Amino acid sequence: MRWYVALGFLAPALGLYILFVLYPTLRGMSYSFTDFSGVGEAQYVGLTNYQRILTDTQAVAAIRNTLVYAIIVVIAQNILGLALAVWMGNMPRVRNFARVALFTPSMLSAVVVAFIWSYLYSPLGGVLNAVLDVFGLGILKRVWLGDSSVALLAIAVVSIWMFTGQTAAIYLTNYLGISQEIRESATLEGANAWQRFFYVEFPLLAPATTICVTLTLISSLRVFDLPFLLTKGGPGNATEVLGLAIFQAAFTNQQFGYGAALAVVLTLFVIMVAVLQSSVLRKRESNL
Amino acid sequence: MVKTRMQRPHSPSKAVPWLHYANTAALIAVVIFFLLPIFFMILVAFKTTEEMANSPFSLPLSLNFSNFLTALQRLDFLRLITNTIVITIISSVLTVLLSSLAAYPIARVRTKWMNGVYQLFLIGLTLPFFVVLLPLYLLARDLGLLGTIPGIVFVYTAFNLPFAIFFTAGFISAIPIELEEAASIDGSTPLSTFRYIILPLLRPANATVAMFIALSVWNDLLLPLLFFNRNEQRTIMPGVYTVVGEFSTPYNELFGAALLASLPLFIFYLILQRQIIAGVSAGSVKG
Repeated sequence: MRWYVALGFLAPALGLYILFVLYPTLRGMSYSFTDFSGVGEAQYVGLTNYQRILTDTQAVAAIRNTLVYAIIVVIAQNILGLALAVWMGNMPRVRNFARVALFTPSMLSAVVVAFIWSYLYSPLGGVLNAVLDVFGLGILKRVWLGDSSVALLAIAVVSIWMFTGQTAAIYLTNYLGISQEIRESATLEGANAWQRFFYVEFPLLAPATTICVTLTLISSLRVFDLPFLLTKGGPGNATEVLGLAIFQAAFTNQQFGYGAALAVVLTLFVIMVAVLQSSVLRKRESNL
Repeated sequence: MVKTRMQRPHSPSKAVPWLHYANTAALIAVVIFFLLPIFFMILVAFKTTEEMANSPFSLPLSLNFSNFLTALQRLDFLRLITNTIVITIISSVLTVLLSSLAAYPIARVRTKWMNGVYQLFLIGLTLPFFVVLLPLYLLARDLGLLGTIPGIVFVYTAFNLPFAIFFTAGFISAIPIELEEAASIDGSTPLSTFRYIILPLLRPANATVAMFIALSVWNDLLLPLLFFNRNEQRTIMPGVYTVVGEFSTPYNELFGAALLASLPLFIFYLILQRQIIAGVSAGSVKG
């Protein structure tokens, strides 16, 4: 294929991609060095926006909350997804039903999921507090989304509920691909179920682990929908995350330059994850 | 030692049948526990406001459809669904077409600059959407695309291209090249080779890409919220959010609207569940 023919095939996609993805990305990065407000002229202000992040309590809270949220979601969702996948892997008769059912929440829109959980968490006739009453645990009752000590965790639980089925489905595909001979020979060597899992199966699940940890990490660093719908960052800054802070800076406070600086910080986090993924987790795979 | 091949593989408790049944029952119990939030939504959607004020665990006394009717009246449902379907179809067709065209040389031409182009597209897979959100909004405003269907279609297409090209190029690489070589000896131009040999073989890959775009467009909130000022132009989920979500709507009406808005997609999921789950799990493990 000659180069100009190849370029002809590429041109429509490349044109749209450069115009609507690459160009806005670069323009956004350049805004982070200005005081642009969305209209009028942008003044170059150097690193002022980045310095402001360090002293802005809302932004510092957003960075801290984003990292805490990501750690909770990545650990809980992967352990839960892996456990469910292994369990389903050993139950061939109900496997498909379980996989489809667990996957269902991730097919719902975040809008619908937020409606459901604001009802479950509601202080007025909400299900969760009613369940605690039934079990005589009324002392644990809370305004789940209005209590700054648990609100972020409450949102993490919603996200884990929504996406654990996807994580489990990825682990399950990998698990079912492990050859039966390997399992049998481990059993013949006298390994019990736990030993077989930790020394034989888990190392062979490295490809799924890489992809699941990376996907959950990147998507939880980018989190926006659920805090936006459930708490708008409150109470105080308890559920303020970077995605929300960027949105508020740009569209609520008309500080495009500052919002762009926050966006660059978020991008750096995601790039760090991508680099880490290719070096650490892929190395584990190549040890197979 | 004789291998017991006849026994069901994968079941560690095969020696003790009742243990296996208990284990199965426990798994089903966990799955049902997982689905409880959705059951509560359905339950409440059929309750009257008085019934809702009783216990959250009580069953509705009769099948009461008034919450759905209220939602239909308040939402201009037909219009929102039509918008969503139109935007979904145009975005899917455009993405499938552009990504198939671009994936063809990416999969077949092995030069340095072609690899560079591929890497350029792959950057888009890790880019957080928020980085682009503000300048994208300004760009759309300057081009007069805010509040228009072409505007939002271009954005959905451009942002789905990286994943679509990645997926389709992988698919083309697995097609044997001999067919194309024979066609080119017979005097077929690259475009007609693509049109008559490659494109028909890409149907499964194209279907997967279209399916994911349908899911993401249907469930998206942020982009239509920013792009469309007037609610009657929006897609279904932002429509539901602005009409019933922002005010203190009672939960039974909220869930009536949410169920109606989710129903088409839920049917889509039930029909295509095998392909959707396989697409999510297999595609990513190989990547």
